[in-house]
Amino acid sequence: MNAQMNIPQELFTPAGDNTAKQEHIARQHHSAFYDGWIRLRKNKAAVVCAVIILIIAVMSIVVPMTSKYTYFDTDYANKIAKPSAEHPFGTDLFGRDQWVRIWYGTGISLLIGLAAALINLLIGVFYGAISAIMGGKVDAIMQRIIEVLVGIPSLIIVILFMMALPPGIWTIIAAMSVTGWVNMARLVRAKILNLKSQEFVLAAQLLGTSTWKIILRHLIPNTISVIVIQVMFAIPSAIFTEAFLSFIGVGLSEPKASLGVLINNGYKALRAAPFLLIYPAIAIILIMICFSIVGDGLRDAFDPRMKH
Amino acid sequence: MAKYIGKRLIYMAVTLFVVAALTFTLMKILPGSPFDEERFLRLEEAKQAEALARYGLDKPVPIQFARYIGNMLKGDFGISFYYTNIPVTKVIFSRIGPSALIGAQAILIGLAIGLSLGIIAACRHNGFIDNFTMVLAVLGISVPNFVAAALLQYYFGLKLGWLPIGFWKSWSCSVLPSVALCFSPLATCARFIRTETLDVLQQDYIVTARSKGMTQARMLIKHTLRNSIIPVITIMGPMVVNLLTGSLAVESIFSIPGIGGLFTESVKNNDYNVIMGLTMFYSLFYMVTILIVDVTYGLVDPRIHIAGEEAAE
Amino acid sequence: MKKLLEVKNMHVSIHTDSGVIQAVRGVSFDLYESETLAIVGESGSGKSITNKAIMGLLPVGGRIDEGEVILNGRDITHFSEKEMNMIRGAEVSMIFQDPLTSLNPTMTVGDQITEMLMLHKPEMTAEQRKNRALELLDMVGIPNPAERFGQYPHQFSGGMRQRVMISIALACEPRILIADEPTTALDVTIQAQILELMKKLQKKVNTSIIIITHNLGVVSSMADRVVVMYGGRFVECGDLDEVFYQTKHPYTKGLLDSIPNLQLSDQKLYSIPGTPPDLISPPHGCPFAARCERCMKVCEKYQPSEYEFSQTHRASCWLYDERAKGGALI
Repeated sequence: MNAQMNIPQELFTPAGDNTAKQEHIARQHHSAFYDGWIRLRKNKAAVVCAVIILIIAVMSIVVPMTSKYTYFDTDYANKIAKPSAEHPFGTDLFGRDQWVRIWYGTGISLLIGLAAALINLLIGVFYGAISAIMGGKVDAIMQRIIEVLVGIPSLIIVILFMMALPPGIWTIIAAMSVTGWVNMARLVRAKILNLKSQEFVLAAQLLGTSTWKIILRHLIPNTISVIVIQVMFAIPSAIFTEAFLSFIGVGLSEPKASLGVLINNGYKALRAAPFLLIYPAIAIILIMICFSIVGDGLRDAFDPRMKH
Repeated sequence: MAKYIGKRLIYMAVTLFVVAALTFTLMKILPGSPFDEERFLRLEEAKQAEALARYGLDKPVPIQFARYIGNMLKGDFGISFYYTNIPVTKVIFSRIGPSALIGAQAILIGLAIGLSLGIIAACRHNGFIDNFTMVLAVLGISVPNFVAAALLQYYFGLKLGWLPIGFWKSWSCSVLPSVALCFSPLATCARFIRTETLDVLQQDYIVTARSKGMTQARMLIKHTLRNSIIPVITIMGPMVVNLLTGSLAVESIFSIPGIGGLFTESVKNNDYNVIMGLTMFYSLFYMVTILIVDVTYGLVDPRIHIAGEEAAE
Repeated sequence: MKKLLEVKNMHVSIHTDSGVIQAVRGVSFDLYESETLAIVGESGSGKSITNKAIMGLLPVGGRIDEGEVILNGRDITHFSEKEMNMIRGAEVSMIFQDPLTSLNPTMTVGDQITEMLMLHKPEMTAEQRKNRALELLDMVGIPNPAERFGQYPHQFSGGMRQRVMISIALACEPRILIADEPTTALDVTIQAQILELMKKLQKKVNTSIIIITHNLGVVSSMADRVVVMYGGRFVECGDLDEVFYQTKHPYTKGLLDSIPNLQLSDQKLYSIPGTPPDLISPPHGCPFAARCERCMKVCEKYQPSEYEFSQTHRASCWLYDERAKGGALI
């Protein structure tokens, strides 16, 4: 209290106009997207994993192109060579350089994952969006179809497709697209229905904005986060499916390599050369972990309410 | 409730029909019949025709399909081409035991460890166990089950020789496959219950509970877990499905005489009838599991009063 | 009258990801036996946090940095969790703003009431507890208690749920009932019923009520005394009449002026310009300075001291300093 008695008299005069300060908002306000971006950047694990994915992607293109070995050249004099300076990951049962094969296989796996995820995205977004925007009978019929499809154990159907169609990368991608889009369609439909019922869309309608403008301006930007997050989860899931198919012998065929093929080959040679299994296993685990962490990071950053 | 189950059963029938049609068509365009291997070509022409006729493969495709569906409704999926003259249903049923044992063990381990870790993680948010659980969850979701199975087989079976691999004689043979399969349900459970519990802990009714003056333990068991565990039922469906598909690879890795291994075998041997039979079996099992899950959730959670209607969303 | 609760110079901070929120900065008040004290302020003024701090129910990251809470002569500020559990529900209980989310959705209403008895009246048998719960449900005006006992919260309307909350809070006849915006989430017609009910039960159970609200209508119909808070600080306190009719602090005046008046319907409704301060970096001086029409230079630099106008009436404002000549003009 004594300190307060020393306050000089001249301070006890009106402070003058303070309207400017009244509307001052101490904490900066940003768009939801910007906020999400900031949250994502703060998530160090996600950033690191995204960088790792980029490096792996680049390496999977560069290594097979620049190495003196190819993924298919055999060298029977040098079978099952242990990892060395010449062959950093050793050679396989046919003397093929495992280092190049792993990077090549990683590239193929990433390609399959990306392509399958994008096809699912296209089909799923269109299906979900049409279903949600049209509503009424169209929506009802489209939803019945989905309800029939979700009952199908997809991996079994994919295996059957792989058996029936000529083997190859595009067969795998096509087979995975048969039922893979259903989740995306459901998510997009749910999100659009949710947005449609929100007040800002109603406000836009009341202001006489055309339907297409509402779709372009409001629905699409607000659905993008859901789509991107779903894609980030679809890619590793497709990589897993491909590896699984190749592992049980209905995926890619030799000498083509994917991580699944390499793991399958390594598994067959497990007793003689465990390193043939371990390196591709580490590769696929690393890729899956990175995608999963980036996916989680994106979800936490852009759609915090979407759990699980 | 009855109406809801009835509606679901109709969907199931339609789905099964679609699956049957799809499977049948795919089987028809498959390269080569089961008889085109050495065994079949060694037969004379007349015997070949006789064999085809015996399996009804000489009739037009739609008739074959109609007959197939008809037989299926009677519970007859034909006979295995590979295990000559044994009915498909018999082949399948003889293989269920080991798969059920491994699957049940994997789910139990997964639930027990996953739920405990997830709950502790949520209560000690950002603590050591929380971080450990999150790392484990990411690993469990990221490591493909067949990779886990192969690595387990290598380290614990071949290198350390602790547990048997590659045959099916005693209970100890089921340990490694069960462990290989439990990672995914464990991780899913831990993640799910953690998020769910963290969410519940922030609810207003937890403050109400605390304001009543109860111990932490009571608050956790009576008010938190009750609300966070019930939704775990909803992920049981996908978990069981993951196990089913996981068992395809894991059973063939450990040479277990289960249905997963049977499927992989049949795919390699082009044993159509078994493949179709198994596909129908898997689809039916999958749909029944999901139906049971939805109905149970509707019954257990008092918040879902129009039982099932919301659970279906 | 006997002093039941004394809050002395309480400081509460909440540690969050975005920084440390100085939620409460030096708030003091007393509560006497069987009176109703209203704590008034806008959202973010620290009124809810003050009361959660009394109960030891601060959110994660929250802690009392300074100050004392004295309940019935005992300093409970540093009570252990176990000791606090003896007080919570038995001596002090709480009801909350949103009856929709404050009841456990997976527990029957009956169980939630009997739980309170189980915790604090262990000598009661299961049957006695049930009978007491039915009696309580009846007391708070829930028809058909026997049938309602076994139902879940979602089977009750908002107003009915708040009645259930009240019955839980009063189950052990606590000395103090803290009601945190008990009517904010309810329809206007239900609001009046709930307030009536609280007044009725207060007499019956002989409890003191702290009602936290931003609704001055609720204050005038319920309170004996009023504490006004702003930006985590004490602003003004006094008897209801003193605060309403001999208003001292410009913020209280602003609040009172922004009540819509039916008689003067052609007038433009008054509103206090500006927004409340950010409590992560609170202003040095009076928190209301930036929005105050009578702000002086000193207000922006120094936190005002408290000035006493009667035994009960105090306000924290520089205008009443002898060096400020305009003080009397308010």
